[in-house]
Amino acid sequence: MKKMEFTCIVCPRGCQLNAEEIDGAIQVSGNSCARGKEYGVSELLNPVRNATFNMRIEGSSKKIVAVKTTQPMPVSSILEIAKKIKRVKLKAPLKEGDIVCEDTLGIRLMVTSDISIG
Amino acid sequence: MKTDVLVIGGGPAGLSAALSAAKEGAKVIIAERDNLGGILNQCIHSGFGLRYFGEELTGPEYASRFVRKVAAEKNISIIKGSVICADKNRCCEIATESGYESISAGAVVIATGCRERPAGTLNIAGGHPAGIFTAGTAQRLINIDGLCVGKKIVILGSGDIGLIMARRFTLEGAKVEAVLEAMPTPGGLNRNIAQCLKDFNIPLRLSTTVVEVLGQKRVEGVVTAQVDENIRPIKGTEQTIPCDTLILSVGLIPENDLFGFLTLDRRTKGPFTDNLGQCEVSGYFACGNALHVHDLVDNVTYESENAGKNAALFALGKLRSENSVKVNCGNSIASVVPQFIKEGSPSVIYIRVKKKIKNAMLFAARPDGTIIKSIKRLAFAPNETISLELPALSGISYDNIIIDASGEA
Repeated sequence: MKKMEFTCIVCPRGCQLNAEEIDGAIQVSGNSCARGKEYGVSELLNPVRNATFNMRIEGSSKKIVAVKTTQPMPVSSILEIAKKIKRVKLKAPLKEGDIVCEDTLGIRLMVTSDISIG
Repeated sequence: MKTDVLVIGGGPAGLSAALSAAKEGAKVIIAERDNLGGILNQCIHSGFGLRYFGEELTGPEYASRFVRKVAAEKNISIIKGSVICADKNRCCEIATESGYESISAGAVVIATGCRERPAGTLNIAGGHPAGIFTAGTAQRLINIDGLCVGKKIVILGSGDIGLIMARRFTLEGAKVEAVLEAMPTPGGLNRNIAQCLKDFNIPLRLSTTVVEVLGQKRVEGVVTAQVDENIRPIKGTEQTIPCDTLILSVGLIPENDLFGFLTLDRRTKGPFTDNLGQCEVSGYFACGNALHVHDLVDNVTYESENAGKNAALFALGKLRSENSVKVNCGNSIASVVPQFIKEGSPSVIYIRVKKKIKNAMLFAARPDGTIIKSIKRLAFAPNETISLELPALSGISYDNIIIDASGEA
């Protein structure tokens, strides 16, 4: 039986949620909307987050570009991915929306701004 | 040079104001000293646009949606330069890379954003070692310039930027020893406490401040102390935290140095405006963080669209002058924006409460006590801006309305 109290991060309102597993079903209270309930369930079973990381670039006057996860990832693996990303360099040019790192790190990351050559 | 509307600043406020002014048919110039998008370019975390676009975007993504629209709008031109003076008659001087430019505008939109409160205002003992940064400066060095700022970090102040930087430092491989907050309650949003500190087990120490910075050439540590209810350090509670970097996230101040002719509201540190975004001096409009410090960029966009549209109408001679009422703060209210409401147009009042109120009702009332609009919530806290939408007032027979909140302490 799991029971947790935490802050909802779905929107800036930041409701205090209680989530509890009762007879295999998850009860969420304290939420003000349906998305809060969904978040409560997910947070109790497997906490996930959207994350952004800085990645080095070659071939541009800009040194780094920010990339974001395309799907929320487990909180427990964010730091590990952050470490691995430090060892990877992307090549200019890049476009906002490009997907990178899928083959090298096994995670889909999306470039968040245009990077031109030079 | 002449233009209908001059927008000073090309961040989220300036871009939105320019787009909505151009939509009214006005010729618009945006003056921006750095890159379009402003502070959003360094805010690489996501969480922007939930209200305006209905999706979660990063800062650069939120900015690029407006930058692209501005680039496609033929009525908007960009001048890269710093506005160095502005007068009551809407004549502005801009220093650009190719020299000096004078612009005479039909209307001016102040979209200059805000500055961080610097280290010098804190009276912390110690020398001037390297390794003391404001949170926004550190954010720029890390997220734009790709530099390493430090390895063992203490953050003073629990505003949103401080919390977000705690997470960024952690992801960049640095160790955040603690986030300290002199007030008994955190300054930033609860969701940021959860996803920036709790997710990475970063301790938050409330009612605690830094009393001394150790180190001569580089920061070697900070001495912390707990504070009493008057925010005075309590003797005997001192502790030393070894670190190489002190990050300050101790408040933002709207940037209005250019506009000495406008009186500033001492509560918000921004100019007084009405619900059309108009300042006291005719033809000046203000929006975004220059007007008051926002916690959501989405609200900056809404506010700036309103100010930009009305600036265009003013410049084109289409803005009617109406009666106005003053918006007063009740005992529970720390600040309100706008401070005046013109008859005939709806308004969004941005409100901050002084203290946390539970089972609360926030309301706008006429002087005779008649409630115009109210909202109820489980709690209102000082770290959030509450918006209250009011319908257009008409046939006003009173000269002020009052905003206040009631509930339990």
